[in-house]
Amino acid sequence: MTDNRMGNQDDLVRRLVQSLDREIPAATEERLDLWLKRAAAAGTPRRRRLILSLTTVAVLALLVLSLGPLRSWRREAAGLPRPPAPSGEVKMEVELRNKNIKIIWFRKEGFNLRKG
Amino acid sequence: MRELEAVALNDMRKENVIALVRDKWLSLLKGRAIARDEFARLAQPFKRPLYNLVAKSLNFSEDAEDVYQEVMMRGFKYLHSLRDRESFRQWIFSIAHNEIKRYYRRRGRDSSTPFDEALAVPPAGNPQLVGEIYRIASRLKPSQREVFFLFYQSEFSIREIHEITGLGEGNVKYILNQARNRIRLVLGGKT
Repeated sequence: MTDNRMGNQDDLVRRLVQSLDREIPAATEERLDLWLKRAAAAGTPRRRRLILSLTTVAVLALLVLSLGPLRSWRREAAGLPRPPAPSGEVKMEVELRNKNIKIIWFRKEGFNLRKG
Repeated sequence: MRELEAVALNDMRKENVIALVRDKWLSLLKGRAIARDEFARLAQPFKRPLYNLVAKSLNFSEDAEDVYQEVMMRGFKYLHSLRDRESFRQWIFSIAHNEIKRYYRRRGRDSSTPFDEALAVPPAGNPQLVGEIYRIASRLKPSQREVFFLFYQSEFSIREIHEITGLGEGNVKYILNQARNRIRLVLGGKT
């Protein structure tokens, strides 16, 4: 059989085969559309993994940031010296110019005045 | 003062994290809608050809609807793995091939649904000839029948059929030639 005749026969068979084309049943289409909507709302497995990992990272980051202030408290509990308190409000300044001396009074933050 | 700065910095970090998470969530939600729309757009021209390939490869079995549905579901699920959107047609037909193969594997060997001749009546043309061709196709093995319909129904080339099914090009040609020889006998007296 020559290529040309084979091609003609193929074209004829194609036409005959395709003359019997079926429509997709409407119920199948509806079911599929519904499934697609639900699947899109739920996300693909890759998206679900992405969302899960993102949420985990966010929760861990927030946890670490929230627990930050507890660090100094833990230092005290462990008997470690507290870091020096920052200087507080400046109360008074006296300058002895002739002796090249400057005296500054300030109250340290949290200093107990009634101590002793 | 340093403590105040530290607290402010901590709050800023928290706000940044919250903003980042919020933005990511929004983009993910938007991404879902885009994925569904994109799949619907890509699949639209191939829905009917896919359904017909599946139905004909399964000898018009009622299970064709389930297999077709499974093809579309898998297509949506794994669309992200398709890098080149231009090759969507071949890709989705490869999924159809896998699902047809899986269907026959589940049902066991030579478990084709018997061909119902009443189903092979075209609305117009030559019903007798069409019936003969579908009868010939129904007698092929499931894998051969699929090759037959990939060529005559879906109009894939031999090379494309080789890529979709994994069968060697020589094997595809052999299957088609066998079908041609049978068809020629039928056509010989009727065309």
